[in-house]
Amino acid sequence: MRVLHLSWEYPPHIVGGLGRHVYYITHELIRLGVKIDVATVGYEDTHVIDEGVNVHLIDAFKVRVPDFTSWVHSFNIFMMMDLSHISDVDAIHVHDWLTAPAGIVLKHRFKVPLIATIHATEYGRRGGLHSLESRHIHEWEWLLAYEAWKVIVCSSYMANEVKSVLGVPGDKIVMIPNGIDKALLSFKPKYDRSRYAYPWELLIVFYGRLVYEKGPDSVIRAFAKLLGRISNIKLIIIGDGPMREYLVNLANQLGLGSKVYFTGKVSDDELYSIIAHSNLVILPSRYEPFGISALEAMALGKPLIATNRGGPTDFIRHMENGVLINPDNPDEIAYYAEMLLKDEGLAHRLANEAKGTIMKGYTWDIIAKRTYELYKAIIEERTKVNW
Amino acid sequence: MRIIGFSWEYPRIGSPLTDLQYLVASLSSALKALGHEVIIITQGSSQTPDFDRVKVISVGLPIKDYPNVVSYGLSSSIQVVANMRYKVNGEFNKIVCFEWGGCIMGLLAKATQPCCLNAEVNCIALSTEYERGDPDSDIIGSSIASIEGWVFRQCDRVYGLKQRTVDDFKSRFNISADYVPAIDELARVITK
Repeated sequence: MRVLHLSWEYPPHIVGGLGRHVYYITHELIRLGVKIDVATVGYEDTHVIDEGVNVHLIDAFKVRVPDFTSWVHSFNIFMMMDLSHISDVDAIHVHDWLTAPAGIVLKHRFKVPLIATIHATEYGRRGGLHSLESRHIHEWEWLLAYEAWKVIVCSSYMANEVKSVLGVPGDKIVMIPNGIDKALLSFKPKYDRSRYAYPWELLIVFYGRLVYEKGPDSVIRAFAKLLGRISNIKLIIIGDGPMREYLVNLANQLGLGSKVYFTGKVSDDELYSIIAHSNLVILPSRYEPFGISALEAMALGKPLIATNRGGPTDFIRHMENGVLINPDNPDEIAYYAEMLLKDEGLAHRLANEAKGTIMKGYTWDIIAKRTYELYKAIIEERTKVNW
Repeated sequence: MRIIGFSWEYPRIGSPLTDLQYLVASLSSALKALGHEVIIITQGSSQTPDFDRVKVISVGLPIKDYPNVVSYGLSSSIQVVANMRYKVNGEFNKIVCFEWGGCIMGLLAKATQPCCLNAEVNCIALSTEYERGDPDSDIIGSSIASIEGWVFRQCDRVYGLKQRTVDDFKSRFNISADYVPAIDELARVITK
């Protein structure tokens, strides 16, 4: 079985979670005996083997373009021309609209099934379609879903979104969640706790892009309320984004001063070290198609307060393996944070249960097996179709 | 010889004739008159009537909204190639493509369509962006000029209908193009 993945992100070129997703799923599929090609953005046209994965790096900067959508289309054109020599592909797997144009053309070129993973929709990301660019992207998302043999989504929330926003019929949608690297389950911090907090301080952590949809402002507001009840706490905000300056000002206005520490972007080792040393993780996203960050906290065995919107509701059961809250209600966040920080037994029980949840169904080897079964079924269906 | 042409435009009944439409239609007729089979692929939602025994295939665009003309040119070319797959049969000897949009279609067709895999790509330009606009001070024009440079370099043969265009190819893009001002002569050169 040979599957061609088209993705605009692949390590080391990583913008969001998509690149990691493609990296882990392809490497696990290789272990299952699938031949994998990945076409992705590069700075010259070249070809490398990455632990068994054939990576086609496409120079995506050959022409000047005025905007992002034009760049996406030019990248797709370069990709199609570069991949013209490929043959014997059994299926094409596209990740989001960014590689949909090439995926659709190549599907008809090879007459093989097109599989689309829709990680998020433009409508969901922007809260509607408010510009020509958004409408353009939305239409390509629709076309991708229309041309796909199956549409993979990572959560039941996203299944509903692609149904309602893109009009995808239910029997075309397959829900396969994201996963985490198994190594995270036995991660040992690379840095001392003293690097981040005094021994007597209880550490609360938020990490993610500093954008409105991730809810970092709600964490700061909840922290301010919590500080009135527990004094030996510290909040670390990890990540960067357009909201950073606003958040720094907000923390100052609320008189939080040295109690809130902004790290900016950090390495994975440092990120996981901080989480591993923390007493509580709070991730109150307002829009969360899946919530891989929540999975990471659970894999590291940390008590977690997460959003009751979107993907996390698939794998977090309130007060069983985590806490689900309304991201726009800092009082609620503070209430449960106080409960978990004061009741170590409860926090420990939830964290243990969370780790068990991950081990049972959310590591990449398990996710890859489900993807492999889907590939097999689709390729078998293709043999019965006159095309 | 079997020839397939790619163009953004082809004459339509009831619409004013553009320079590009005139060029595509007259060159198609000239090629046909030399005894070749000619099929023109263009984009459009309604079927364009065949003219002078030249078969014209209009390919509809599912995407309706575009942020700008560059996005439109790149995106619509991809859609045309994606949707032409089941509308043409057999193999072609020559691809004739017009302006940068048609050339992207032609190059993509050669890269991805079984009917065009062995065809020679001939590109014909009415003008370059340096003649039409001011690429040095306009972001859209600059982008189009950049795309023109890349696209025309990928083609096997490039023709200009004006000396100025051919000069621009050389000075701006470092491309050697042939200056062929007469349509009948162009048809003969392409099929030689």
